[in-house]
Amino acid sequence: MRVEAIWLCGLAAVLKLDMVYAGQFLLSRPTVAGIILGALTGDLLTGLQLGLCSELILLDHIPVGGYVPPNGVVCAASAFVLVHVFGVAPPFAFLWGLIMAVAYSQVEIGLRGHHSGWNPKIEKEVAENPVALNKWVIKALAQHLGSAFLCMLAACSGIGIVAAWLWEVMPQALKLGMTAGYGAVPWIGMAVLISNLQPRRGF
Amino acid sequence: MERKLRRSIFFRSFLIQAGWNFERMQNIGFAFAIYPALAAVYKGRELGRAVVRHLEMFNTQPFMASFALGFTAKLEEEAAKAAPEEKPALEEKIRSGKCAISSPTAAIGDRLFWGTLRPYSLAITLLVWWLFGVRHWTLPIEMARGERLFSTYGAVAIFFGVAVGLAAYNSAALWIRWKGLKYGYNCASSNSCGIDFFDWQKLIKHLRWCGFISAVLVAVLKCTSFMSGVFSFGQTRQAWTLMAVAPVAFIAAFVVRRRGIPGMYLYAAIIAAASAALYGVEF
Repeated sequence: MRVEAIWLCGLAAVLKLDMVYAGQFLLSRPTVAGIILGALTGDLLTGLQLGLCSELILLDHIPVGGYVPPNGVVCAASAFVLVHVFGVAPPFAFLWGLIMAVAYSQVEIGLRGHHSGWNPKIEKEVAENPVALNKWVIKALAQHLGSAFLCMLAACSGIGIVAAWLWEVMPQALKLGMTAGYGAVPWIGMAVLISNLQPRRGF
Repeated sequence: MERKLRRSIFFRSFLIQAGWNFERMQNIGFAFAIYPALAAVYKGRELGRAVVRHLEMFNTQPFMASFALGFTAKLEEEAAKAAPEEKPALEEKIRSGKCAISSPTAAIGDRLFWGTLRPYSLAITLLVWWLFGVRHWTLPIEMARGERLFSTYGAVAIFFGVAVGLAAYNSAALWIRWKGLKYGYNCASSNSCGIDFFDWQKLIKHLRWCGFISAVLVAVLKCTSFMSGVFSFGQTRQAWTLMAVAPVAFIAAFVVRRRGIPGMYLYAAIIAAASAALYGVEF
């Protein structure tokens, strides 16, 4: 496991908190996260492109109500770590990033379900000591931070070495297919962006 | 509302979703955010009881939650001062009021922030990038490197574009969070609870138009830079593949979007279709 992968996943996990749990300043936008990771590692172009592609492909997933969308930061950061640290080709890394983003949303669903079980305990504790609420908030944030960090690090470390080898032995048609799919992402995203912003009648 | 108290609730409201759970949604975050207002009027076991009251189910758009927070802070002040026999009725009023506010604020907030401002800020970022020479993000990385991405204004342009997008989004988000507390607090328990202080429909309409024009402009401008960029390394198979895929993906994305199919399924379909089409072709 490389040191660079550890701190990149750690930073991505911190940025990921901004997506839902703390702040929501859009620092967790995949484009922003990709650019930050890219700038810190001296690979700004890779960070920008993977971040932007992650944002564009997930643009139609809106975190309304209890819906947990695929995590854009996990997608961008995982793809970036695979490209920058493990030398995986960007089209293949992006596909893995997207798979990880979808998989991580299931982890997040699990965590939210787990936090439902906290309610009776919090009520009991807070009735005696109201300040105890701070502890539960910190605990929830720490769990989200830790789970994102560990999931990204484990997945990137596991997939990184295999993916670089897989790309080498993969049939040329599949490689070109992935390149085509990756090349299509900005155009899919642009179309989604235009239709999202298309003025409509009424509210 | 005292400025110190308002500031305290404002900063705590950034963690309103910290303990999000499926059973009671934002309840932990709401209780955490309203805590300074409760601590100002209750002490000891009364404070504990008040915090527990706010651990019941609550959910709205996080930025718009400040209306409910302001409203609750005001009514909690009144409940603390009220005679013991009036307290149950006031507590019920807080409970039903919170519930009543959460739905309209969620509807407005989801439409404004997730549905409009978030894509709008991205469209603005892309437009700023294009204006400052960051134009080749649709090309494969090895091609984009050859296109001198940093030729005009360098990395500064990238950060500037991001900063403009973030500023557009956060200025509105922070302003509404801050103002929402004030209007919620001063709404005097009216039915609208301060939500009508602003013409949301007009704002959303204008933002959508601005964002839509920016997005269309970026798409048109991108087409020209894409065509010049993609063949800059010669007429390779990869260049022709990308050239063929781009318009198909763009048009197909509109169609699948209308049918409510996520874009990532189209991405997967393009990989499968392109791989199948190229299978058996000699390279």
